[in-house]
Amino acid sequence: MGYELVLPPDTQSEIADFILNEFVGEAEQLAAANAIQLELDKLSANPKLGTSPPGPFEGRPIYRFTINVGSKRLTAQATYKVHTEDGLIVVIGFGRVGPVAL
Amino acid sequence: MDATRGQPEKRQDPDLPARGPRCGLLGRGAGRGQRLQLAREPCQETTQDGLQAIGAALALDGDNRGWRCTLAECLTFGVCSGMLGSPRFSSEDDMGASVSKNARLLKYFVQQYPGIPRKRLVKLVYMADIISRQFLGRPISTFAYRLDKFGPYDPAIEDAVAELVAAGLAREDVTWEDNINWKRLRDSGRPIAFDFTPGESEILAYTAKNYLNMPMPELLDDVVYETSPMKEAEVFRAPLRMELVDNEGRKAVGFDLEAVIRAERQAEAGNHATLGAFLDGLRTRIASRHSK
Repeated sequence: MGYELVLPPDTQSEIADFILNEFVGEAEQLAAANAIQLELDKLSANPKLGTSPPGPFEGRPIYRFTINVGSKRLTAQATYKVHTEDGLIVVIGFGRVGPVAL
Repeated sequence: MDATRGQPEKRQDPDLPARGPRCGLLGRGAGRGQRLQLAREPCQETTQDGLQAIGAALALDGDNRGWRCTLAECLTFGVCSGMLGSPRFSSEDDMGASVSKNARLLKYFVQQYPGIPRKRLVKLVYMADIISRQFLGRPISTFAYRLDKFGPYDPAIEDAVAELVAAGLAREDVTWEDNINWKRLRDSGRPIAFDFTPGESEILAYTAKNYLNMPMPELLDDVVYETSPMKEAEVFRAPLRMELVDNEGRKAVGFDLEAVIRAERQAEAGNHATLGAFLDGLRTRIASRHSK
């Protein structure tokens, strides 16, 4: 059984900003919302999808994924905490992954 | 820098060698010839220190170290040293408000490691500043490190120690053993209010968890000397370019640590929505915005 995924207000704002700023028009924005839901549902089914970087984020895995909407292809990521006892995943950060600097 | 290497599994005496009277030669390895033989880390600790470290002694099993003490010995020491019936219970405590942030930073580590040797203390503070620069873009302390005899150092650390001692928050024991000058800082047991930000607190906890008990040679060679400012340093007593690591970690993970902790606290306070509920609301918002 999967975990329930919850979002504190700051993360809600980050996701809303991402959708409303990166995508244009109702169709794109709704498609982006659907794509994010799909990806985060994958995470709630399998919390081990994220990777834990060294440092203070070692207890806060990061799950990175690509969103394809129309001709747009953006990479986003979410950092989260798993509360096994409560069956909860709290997404504590969300944002776009910028292009890799060459 | 790999900040997670070599984490010890349980508390051992990290300033003692695992077996035998080994001393850690600093600056080992290729490319560090200049630091080779600059210093020898102290690597002996007396049984007396073990006895004085009441909390640690009770918690430890004495792996080849003779740290065991009876409850009576511990209580005797507690009374004689003034730990029992001491100012720690005084209502006049100013909660450390009168000491600098640098001194409070030292106090944080001192109260977790009974009788912490000065050299280890300096390395912990240095690593906390490095990690803070990496993830917060600024140091926790105002120490200006330079390449010194035993690695990164700032003489102002002595001022911070003196502050703690003068405020009755710690005491320093200086002993001379086997040609090694031991400077150990011991917590007085008086609590103070720490005013670190949530991000700083997280970094301090991480530093303590990973490096407080790491064997000294490993802490030096695998961690401290692997940081960019130390790798780059060549001139004795020249300032270390700490800014080299600024925001390194933040860029690597793509998240702001303080913001993430803020969100965590919101959730802990029960302030959150399910993904489905939030996205349903957002969809309604998008639809109504475009219908206008």
